[in-house]
Amino acid sequence: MVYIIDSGNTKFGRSNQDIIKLGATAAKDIVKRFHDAIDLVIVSNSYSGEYTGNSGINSLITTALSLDEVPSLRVDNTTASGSTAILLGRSLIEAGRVNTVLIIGVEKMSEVDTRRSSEIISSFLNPVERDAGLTLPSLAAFMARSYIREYGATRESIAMVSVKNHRNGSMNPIAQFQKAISLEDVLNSRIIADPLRLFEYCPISDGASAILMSSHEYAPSLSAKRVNVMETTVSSSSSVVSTRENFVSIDVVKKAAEQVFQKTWLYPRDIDFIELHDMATILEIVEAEDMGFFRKGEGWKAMKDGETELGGSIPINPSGGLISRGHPIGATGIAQAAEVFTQLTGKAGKRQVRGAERGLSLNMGGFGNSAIATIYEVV
Amino acid sequence: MRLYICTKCGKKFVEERLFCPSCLSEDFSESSINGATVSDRVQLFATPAKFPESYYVLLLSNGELKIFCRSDTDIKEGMKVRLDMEDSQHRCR
Repeated sequence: MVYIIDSGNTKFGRSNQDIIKLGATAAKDIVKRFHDAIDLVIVSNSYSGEYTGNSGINSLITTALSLDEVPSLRVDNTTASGSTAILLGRSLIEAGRVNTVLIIGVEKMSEVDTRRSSEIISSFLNPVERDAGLTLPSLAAFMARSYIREYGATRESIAMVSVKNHRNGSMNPIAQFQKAISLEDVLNSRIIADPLRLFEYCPISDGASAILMSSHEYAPSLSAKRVNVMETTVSSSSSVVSTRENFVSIDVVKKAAEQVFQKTWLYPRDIDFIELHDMATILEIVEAEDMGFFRKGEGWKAMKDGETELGGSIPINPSGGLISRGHPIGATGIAQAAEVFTQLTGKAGKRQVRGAERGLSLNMGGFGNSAIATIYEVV
Repeated sequence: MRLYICTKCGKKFVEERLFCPSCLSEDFSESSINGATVSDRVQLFATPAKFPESYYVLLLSNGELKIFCRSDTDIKEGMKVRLDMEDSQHRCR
């Protein structure tokens, strides 16, 4: 078994700190507590070169933390970098190569304007589609159009994802947006890619999160507070998005979820809450369906009926998700794990999911290029 | 738009590859897709640098393949369009 035994975050949003300080700050308290026990540092980051002109970010951050002689590496799998780092760290601990891994996810995106940021993020697209002006927001809009057409979902039910996530975010001290908003606010915000509007997309964010993972044998000597990373599975697909069968489902999400449930002998009903990759409102609904939490085409009704609210049958994104907590790309997968750790150790304050014993995170790379599903359990 | 056709299994694709995604053959012939039909469209009001500040992305189908293309004007579903390369960007009219 592999455990998470500690976590840390910076506030998400616009930061005055440079990317090195930002990454180091998220891990500062962990390093204070466990400095001599850290065997390896993995830094999850996608775009330090493009946004900030830094390369070798892992070495720069370990120096800032005075972990100069601890081996380190950087993992990049675009928006799924964080969970990919967890997959790697967990595998190295399981293989017995290391006892502990400090994973730091970080991105600083505010140093360029929005159009340059969009250009940087769109570079994950296959050139044949990037050259056609395709963007992540436009793909989410195609998904929303297809979903509404196919299943008769109301426009309001999709926008309610944003209302719920902002409400949850207002209870999360690290969230970029700390204010609850109304359905009218969402539906009156400006259109980004028709039909989806500004408040239905994640913002551009600076931020960092960190977790410390430890082996089963080593963890008890370090901390009494432990969460078991039961299983983490990955599924991948083509970088050419037009090869997807349709826009109402994401194949890699389905496959990663099927595998994680199969390997843990669990079912969706055994999960108490989920952190999903809500880059846009519609993605939260489609991903929850694809993972088996709702029948296909019925996720929007569950949203409308409040089933995914904090007190609902399956709370989704108690942290506020990407839409409200923010989406510093390299940090997101680690922020999801840190939220699950916080929830399962009962430290989530006002946004605490009552009686939570098992959580699931889903981190997606690109637009269905890859998906990583992880199930965690309280010890 | 450039089209690759695997000479062994006949698989068609538009992206650069060293192996056929279906049979792993390394031999392709090249053709082009000159026209297709609009299946769906999205108007964008937030766009990447090096592109106009607003445009449409069209999802096209030629019966065998789906392709994305940019248009400066609204072209409705079911309409046929012509595909061109202009300033290294796929455009349709």
